[in-house]
Amino acid sequence: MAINTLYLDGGIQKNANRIYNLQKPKNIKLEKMFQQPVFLLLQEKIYKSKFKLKFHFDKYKYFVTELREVNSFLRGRYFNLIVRNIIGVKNYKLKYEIRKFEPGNYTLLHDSYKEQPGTDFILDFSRDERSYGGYIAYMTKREELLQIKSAPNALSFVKRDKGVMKYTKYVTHQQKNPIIQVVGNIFAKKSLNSFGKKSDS
Amino acid sequence: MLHEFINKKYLNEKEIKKINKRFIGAEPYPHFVLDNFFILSKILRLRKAVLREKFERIDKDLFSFSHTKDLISSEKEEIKSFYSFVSSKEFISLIEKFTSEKLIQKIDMQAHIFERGDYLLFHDDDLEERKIAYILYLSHGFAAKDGGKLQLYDAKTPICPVKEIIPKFNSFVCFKVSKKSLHAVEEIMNSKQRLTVGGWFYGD
Repeated sequence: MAINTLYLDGGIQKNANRIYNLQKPKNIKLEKMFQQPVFLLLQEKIYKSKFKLKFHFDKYKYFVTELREVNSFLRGRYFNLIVRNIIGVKNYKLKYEIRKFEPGNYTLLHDSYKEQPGTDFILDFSRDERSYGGYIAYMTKREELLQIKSAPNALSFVKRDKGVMKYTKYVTHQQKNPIIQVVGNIFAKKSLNSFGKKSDS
Repeated sequence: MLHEFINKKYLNEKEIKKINKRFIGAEPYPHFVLDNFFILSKILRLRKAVLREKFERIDKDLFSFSHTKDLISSEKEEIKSFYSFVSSKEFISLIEKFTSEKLIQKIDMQAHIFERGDYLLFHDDDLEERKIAYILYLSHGFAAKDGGKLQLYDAKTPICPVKEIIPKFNSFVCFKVSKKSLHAVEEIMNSKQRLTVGGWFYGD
């Protein structure tokens, strides 16, 4: 899986780790994650996949699919290195979905929808640079902390502390191509608080 | 006082009983839609005044729209007069006759503007002592293709709306608030602006 080799460079990883840790909440967007021809091939494959509707009227409405290549990437060496060296998490478990948001799709904040704290990742296979809705908003009960806007070929990470919830903003009729993202969570068994150093917590 | 604000065709006893019957038997839950409900000149003046109010944009998971504060704080004469009419004993008593609900003399009232891409997803309004939700439509020329319809859903199978109400100028909609009163406002599909004044009538 040909990812952008910049993200395998030790110096760049160290710098990205520093940037990630400086944000509140901790987050980073890694642009141009895959080499362009590889990204386009993967994108094409995902867009052609058969999606199933996932709908609960007061929780979510979007489509999901599965793709072997995405699973291989997320379980593979490169993703592992990025998570370990940029996010500072090793020996993690992950779960994810490949989600498609068409006009009229959304997810809602919901009291019963409480995720355990962890690190979210969003790997974006969308076609359009501009989106109408479809951003992921991170909230506490009091305020909005962050919005992750759709960006083709970007891999974003967001540290989600206790009490932080998220929703995907309703996508409006102005959206041309659907927004397609791999959205997942990483749950650390052990964390590294800075580049390669173990944390006590 | 009622005659000063309401189209007289809605004020005779026979019509009131008909509306009440329609309200109670309506599907998926009690509601009515009354066209040309208020006296036109009053509503035109109200519309003009409401558009001069300050609207605040609000984007959440459940909705995107602009709204005013409660209009009780408005200093515009046309709005003050409309507010005091809607919260009057006479009008609340008429709503009681229309709906067979026991109400108290308490309301709230806000104006909302929905523009392109704005929407309000499923919810039931069931909060505190809200008994009857009301909406007065103040936009001209809305058709089905424009979006902005009030959609009423069956709470057991909320997939397709059971009823869709086009926001016609000067139509007045009321529905009974309960766990069953699942409704939404369809996304606005073009540059039309959907202006409403609405709120709730309260009970004990």
